[in-house]
Amino acid sequence: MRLGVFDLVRATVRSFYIQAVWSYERMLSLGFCFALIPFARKMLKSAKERRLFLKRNLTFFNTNPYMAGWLIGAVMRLEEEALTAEKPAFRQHERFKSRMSQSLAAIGDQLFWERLRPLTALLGWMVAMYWGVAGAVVFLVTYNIPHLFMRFKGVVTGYRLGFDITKEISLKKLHKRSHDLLRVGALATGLAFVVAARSAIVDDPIQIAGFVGGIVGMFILLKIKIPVPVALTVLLIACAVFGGLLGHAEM
Amino acid sequence: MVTDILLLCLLGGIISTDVDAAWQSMLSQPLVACPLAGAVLGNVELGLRFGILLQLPFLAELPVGGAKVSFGGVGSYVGAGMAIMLRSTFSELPNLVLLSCLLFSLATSVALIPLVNWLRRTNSYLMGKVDLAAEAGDLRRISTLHYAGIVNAIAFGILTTGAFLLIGKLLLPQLLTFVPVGVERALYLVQPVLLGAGLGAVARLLVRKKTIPFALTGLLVGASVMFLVGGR
Repeated sequence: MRLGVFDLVRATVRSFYIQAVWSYERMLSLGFCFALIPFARKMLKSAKERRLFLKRNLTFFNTNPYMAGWLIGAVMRLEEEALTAEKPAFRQHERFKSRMSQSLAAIGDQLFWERLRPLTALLGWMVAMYWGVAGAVVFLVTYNIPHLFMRFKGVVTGYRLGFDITKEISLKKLHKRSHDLLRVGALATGLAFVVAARSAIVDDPIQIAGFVGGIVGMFILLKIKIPVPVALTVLLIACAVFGGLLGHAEM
Repeated sequence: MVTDILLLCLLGGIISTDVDAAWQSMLSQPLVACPLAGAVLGNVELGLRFGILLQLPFLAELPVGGAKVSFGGVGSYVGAGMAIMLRSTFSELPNLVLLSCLLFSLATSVALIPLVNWLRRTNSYLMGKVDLAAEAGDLRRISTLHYAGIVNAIAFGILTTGAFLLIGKLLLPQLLTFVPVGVERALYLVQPVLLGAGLGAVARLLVRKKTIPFALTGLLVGASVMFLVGGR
């Protein structure tokens, strides 16, 4: 007996909730196991099999949530193969899961959090400056198409390839994609600068100074590792004080 | 008004859950969450303006590895809700309302960090129950406990949104009454500074030595289009 398309879709949908019970001790382990339950229900009939399966898959697990599908699919394949194997290599499965979760976390964090999110947010932000709420829609659509694609592709390809997902997820290929996104992101940053400058400044040299001060101030505060809310608070208080002093001087 | 606030809290539960407990579909980003607050309270435009100002700076926070990040999306959502509610009462102080609600949203985003840590510790209690269910090989119970975790995350979001809205409702009008009206004029720099800060944050993320030519190209293309179109 093998898993069907419907089972893979169910596993993928469950993977959307992988971080719901994030705990300090085992991080995403329950979410990972939750995504595997449709598999266990269909393939494992005895209570003993189910108990051992749960114990194996409730150990420490952490990765990028968007990339977890690759391991969910691969583990389903390996567990399925273990059902018919004479001596299932569960220790090997555990090592594979542990190593791959780290690699997938590194790839996912860079690809999604550091590249795709800023780029798509910037696109949405520029659209919002001119066409209002359409910007939010652009952001949601441009981010979620690759995100959903990665979630579904991960589970399906993971289940198809098992251990061989290492060949499919080439670090070199993903790094290239990440660099491409960085270039497009830099291009969009240049464009956004013009968009922001045009809407923030109305022929007022003090507003120009405020805009440039905001760029430089934020850049420096982030460089010295000040958290974003603190950096913004410092800048807002500075601009209130500076504006107050200028207003006082004008009077 | 009560119905609006209840709806705002319910939506706050969904937005808070989207941050990290489930989906991560970017519904919780300021650019999306703030107009939603605006839609509930009948002022999408102000909500969107709030989102535009806070979206770019918060991109600099990366939920990578063990990094402790603030909850900028939820904070912005609460702040946008407060700004819309206060706008009608203090219509002569638009800049002051904006600044106080921005500061309140930043404080909310930081105050949520220990509360979320507390939520995660309650998840450890759930994990104890999960181990017992695993011992019995009970798949249904494992699923039920996970669903309980999801419900817990949504309930946490609803309650914290409600609590911060209540604090804002009690605190901010008092604060605004005490501030001299003359301060309002001094705050015309808030928007240019925040737009600049957003670009500073994004530039730090996306502009590296190797990509400077791309950023300059974008700048030139943007400037040329603006020059040709001559629009805003």
